Amino acid sequence: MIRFEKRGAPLALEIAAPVLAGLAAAVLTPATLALLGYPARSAFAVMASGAFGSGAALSATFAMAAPLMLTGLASLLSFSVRLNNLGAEGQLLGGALAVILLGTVMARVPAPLVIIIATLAGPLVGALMLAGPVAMKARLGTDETVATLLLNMIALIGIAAATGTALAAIAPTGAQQTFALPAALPSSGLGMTARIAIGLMIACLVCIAAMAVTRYTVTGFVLRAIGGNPTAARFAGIPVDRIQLTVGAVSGALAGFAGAALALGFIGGAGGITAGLGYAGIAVALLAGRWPLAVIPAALFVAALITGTQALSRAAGAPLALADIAIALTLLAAPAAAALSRYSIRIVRAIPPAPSAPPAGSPTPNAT
Amino acid sequence: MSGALEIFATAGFWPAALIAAAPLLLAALGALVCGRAGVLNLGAEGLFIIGAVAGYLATQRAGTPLAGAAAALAIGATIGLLHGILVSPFGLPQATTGLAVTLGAAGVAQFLAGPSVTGSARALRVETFPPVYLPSLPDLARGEDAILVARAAIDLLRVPAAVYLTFVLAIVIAYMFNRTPLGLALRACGENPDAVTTQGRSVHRLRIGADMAGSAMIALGGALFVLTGTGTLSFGVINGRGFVALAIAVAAGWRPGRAFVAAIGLGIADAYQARLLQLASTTTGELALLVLLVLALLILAATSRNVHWRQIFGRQRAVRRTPAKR
Amino acid sequence: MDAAREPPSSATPATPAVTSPDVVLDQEAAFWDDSGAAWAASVDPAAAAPGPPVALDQQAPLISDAETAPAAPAEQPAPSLKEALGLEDAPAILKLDGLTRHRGDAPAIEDFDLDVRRGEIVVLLGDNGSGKTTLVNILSGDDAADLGLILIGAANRRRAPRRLRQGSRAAARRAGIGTVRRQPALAGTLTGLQNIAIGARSLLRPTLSRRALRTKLSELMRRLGLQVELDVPVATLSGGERIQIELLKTAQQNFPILVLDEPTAALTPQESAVLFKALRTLAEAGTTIVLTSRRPDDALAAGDRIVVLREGRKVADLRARQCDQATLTALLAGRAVARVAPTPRSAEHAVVELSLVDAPSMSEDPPLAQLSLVVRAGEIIGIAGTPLNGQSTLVSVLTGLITPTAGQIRLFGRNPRRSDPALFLRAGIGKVQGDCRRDALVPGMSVAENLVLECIGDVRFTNQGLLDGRAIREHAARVIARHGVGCPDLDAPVETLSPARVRKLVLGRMFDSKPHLVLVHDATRSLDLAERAEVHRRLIAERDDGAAVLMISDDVEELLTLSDYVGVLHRGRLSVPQPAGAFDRQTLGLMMGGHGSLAQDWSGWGGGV
Repeated sequence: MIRFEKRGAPLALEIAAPVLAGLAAAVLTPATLALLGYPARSAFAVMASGAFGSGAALSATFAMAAPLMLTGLASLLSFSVRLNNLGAEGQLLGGALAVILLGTVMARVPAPLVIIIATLAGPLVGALMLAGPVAMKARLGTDETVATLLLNMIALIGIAAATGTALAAIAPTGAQQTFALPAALPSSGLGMTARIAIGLMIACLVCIAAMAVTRYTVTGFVLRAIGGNPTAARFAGIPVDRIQLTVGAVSGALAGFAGAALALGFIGGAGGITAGLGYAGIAVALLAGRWPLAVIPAALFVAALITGTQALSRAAGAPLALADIAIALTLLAAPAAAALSRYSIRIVRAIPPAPSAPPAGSPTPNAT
Repeated sequence: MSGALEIFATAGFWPAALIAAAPLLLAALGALVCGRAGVLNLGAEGLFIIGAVAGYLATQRAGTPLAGAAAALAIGATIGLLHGILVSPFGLPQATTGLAVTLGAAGVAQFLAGPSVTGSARALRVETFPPVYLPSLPDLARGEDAILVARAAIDLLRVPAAVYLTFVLAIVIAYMFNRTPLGLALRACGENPDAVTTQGRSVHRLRIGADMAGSAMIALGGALFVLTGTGTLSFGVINGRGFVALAIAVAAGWRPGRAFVAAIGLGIADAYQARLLQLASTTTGELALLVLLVLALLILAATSRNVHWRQIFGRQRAVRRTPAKR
Repeated sequence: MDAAREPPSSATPATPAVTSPDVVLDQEAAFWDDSGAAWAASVDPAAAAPGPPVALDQQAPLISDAETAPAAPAEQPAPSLKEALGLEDAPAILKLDGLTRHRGDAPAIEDFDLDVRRGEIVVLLGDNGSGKTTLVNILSGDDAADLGLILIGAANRRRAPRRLRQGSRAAARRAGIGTVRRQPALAGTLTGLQNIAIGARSLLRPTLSRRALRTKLSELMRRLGLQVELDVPVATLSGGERIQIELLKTAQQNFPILVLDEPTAALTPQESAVLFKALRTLAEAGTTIVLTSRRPDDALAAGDRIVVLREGRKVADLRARQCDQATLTALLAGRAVARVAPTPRSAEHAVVELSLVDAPSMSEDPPLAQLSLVVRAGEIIGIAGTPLNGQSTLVSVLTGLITPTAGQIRLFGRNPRRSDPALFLRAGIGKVQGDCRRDALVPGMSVAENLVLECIGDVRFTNQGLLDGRAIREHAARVIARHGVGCPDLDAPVETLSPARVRKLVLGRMFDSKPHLVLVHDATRSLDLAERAEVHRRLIAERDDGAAVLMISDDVEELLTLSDYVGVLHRGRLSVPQPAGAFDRQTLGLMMGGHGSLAQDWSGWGGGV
């Protein structure tokens, strides 16, 4: 008989699982394309070259990776304290929206000052957008899932209105649409390379800092306790509601900062705000699992997945929505792989004893 | 100010309100059926969209809106089956799986609709469900007020049969949950699955079945919105309403009666702001949607105490520090 | 290949597995036909009755002296299959052969054999950790043995006995085994009738089948001597009433074999008597009953046959009338365990006072109403009550988790500024919750980390904001050594521990903090006799040392032995604590069931039942 027993995952499996999940998503995307009736010949080559094949491709991938690290970390932090925060998208767009509005309102204020204020405003708006639903959860017991989704859409409409972009007919996530920034907005004036470098630097630093806090400090311990068992944490004297609110604010601020930095031109590629980075960030968080440091490779992978898939759609003449499908596959594969990695297989041979014989010896060795 | 109130009295307002309410109600009923059985169907948005697109395309091809309805039901049921299998026996987390369904279904919908739909409006109209035929009242000199009221009432009733069927469905679902063993078993799936397995029923089968039925309803809601309304696809028409329907279901505490009230309210609001925008001679689908979203958020906040989240999201019974007001 | 569900803990596998991310491999489902058609034909009440029916209010065993089958001691060689299935009067219907189940390194049960005849009531008597719950899990299909078989015989002997496919709930049901667990599997917002209606044959037809069901249930209730409201939501029913509904639900499915896991755990003595009468009626009609229990007097009252388990092995297989309480207790323990009793001591200042406190309900526990309680240093107050009568709410109020909506709390004579668990912890309130897995420990964290959970902010464990891992481990090792926790591996994830170890862990953690108020809810749940005595000793030591001890328990003996004063919690109301000597088991049982002959003892009680 094969017995599946739950156990803690050894490190090797814990790392292998998201890798396999990512590969599965990368493989299933062209498969879906083929299923939908488009030519998918040499799909992997196209995807790879779209992600890494040329200088332009590489910079596109790296440019996308930085905001993904930030939204991925934001989602990871929320999930780690049992907040079902699906609103990274809205918080990012909200941050960008704040910058755009400020830039328009403060058109006559000197640019450096605007930049400073906007850089602070973006995270603030993002923080409020998440802190609101979380506060409702603490007071009233509402679940924040649907509230954050509604806020996502509201932010999407807001930024479309602010940038004068018409939204596509089918775009629940606004995905893959780019919102052009108004010309009057103060921009950092950085070149593409500088933006990529700064973006990656900031994002990596933030992830490393988050990792250090989670693993080595008392705060991290407390966060892990809340994530593991909020009731036990409450009984142990941990102020769960207050901490969830704080983490919610930090998470929203991270995503809002990403939006603001995109709008101000500190990170990201040229051409404005791409929507869909928040939802991709959720995929990043699922791949990263428990540790913030893993957000870095996860974000790089998801960025490559998106750029590669975009190249594939262009080559096959398919809608850009293929990237959405790729993210959806990642969202399915990552938890599945993680769940499977937690089981060990034990093969036990059940020997029925003969009526007069002594009972059989110990079972056959474990096959783990 | 009187102009604002007069809108309620304009011809065709109330039928428009009902027509706006019915798809929301249908989708909310679908979300509700899933939710009672313990499945939070965050794929509602994607299902609504793909239902609308499938309904639109099928009607275009076959020439009759019934084809559109059938196509939406079929697609919804299929997606519901997949989602149900992933969530129930395989146990993937519901929030992210639902989100994956939304993204995936919306993506596939874009493939189905073709590149032209990704522009801002699909102008081509398709056949819609016609309003129920009701004879007009003859013009009489006497009893004018009564005639006016009667005329208004008949106007109100001049909505497609599908709208009526939706209202009837709400009653049927309420009856099912309270009186039939099937409905009771679904409720038990959501509260204590062991209560179901100890009587020989399969929780997985029930949940998957509920998921299929609910998803089919949500997709049909999407199709209905196109096929009883304008007959076109545009952003404000199809996006966001799935989430709104989900919010209705949650705010209603998974009760069909309350979902009905919420849907009617939102339908009235939708029709109202549509008229208002027409008067102000601006029409943007985005703005219409914004009103709905904000209202949905407010309703959610106002009624959150009615929801038994713990029964859905699992055994971790969170302990409240401040006492709940009953 | 047999597929197995994830093996649950040996204590309470009540968590709904289907909502968890665990992979459930059981793809089959059985729709149990409530007419029991497959079995009804073979259950012939007239054939092979085990003996003349006996009047139900006597406790005489059902098997007459003419019965020739000897009691089978464990030392004799296992009889051949044919012999075991017997040429005697009643055919054997259930045979367990060489069942062995390992858990971790120690065996949970080892080489267990049992033959049960149709219509017998067999009681598996064993302390916590003796393996009886494992056996129930194997029989119900939640778990599978590593070695050994289970054979289900046909009543009419026309068919050869079939092997039960282990590890599958559906297979167990199809084979005719129905299970009643300690925590009834009922949906709280549905009424009793609605819960049972779920099993109706036709899912869609409403009214007709409900009327028929109601008649059927009334008849069944009358036959079994049960009395319970069918039309109120189950969540409002008491533990005893829920078990009755669960029994009705299972009985009307006509299982030939009924397995009950510690059914009397949540019942008062009077409710237990009603349950045993109902079981006897079922047994007379031909149902075979296997039930487990921890208590010798329950075993004597319930069963024809008593099988004693100790540490996973069968140590005795006796007829109920051949033994008495003392023999059974000796067999259970295996060695002499000295009974612990406190010496009288006078109490000092009040540590905690609740006056006329109202508190809102927590999940399934009812709210508290007008509850007044004073616990003084140097005394042990026991609070009796069947589960789900407000115990968890009381613990939450006393630990500061819930703010009362009325009334006052005073700690050491002062009102705390607000209800805050951190505040109360610092004030010296130590606690062990009833459900430690749910309320006291964090899965995913190690043993060491859980041991410092309540004092993680302490300066001993931090080094300028960074965690001092070594200090944490040293502290954990000290706690384990000092308090006999018995978890050698500090880094083991806490979810891999057995329920007994879990409880000792939480007890050790609490004792180490030297609290002024020792608040324990079900302090000795899952612990075996020796461990229980140790905990009792420790509680008395704390009391003698000047702490106030509040013991909430459903174990009447434990309370009466240890407490200075005993109060009864019933539906959120507490009776005025009286000296323990004033109670005996029967009176306490009556009060736990809500029938106070001493009506004036209920504070705020509306005068009587």
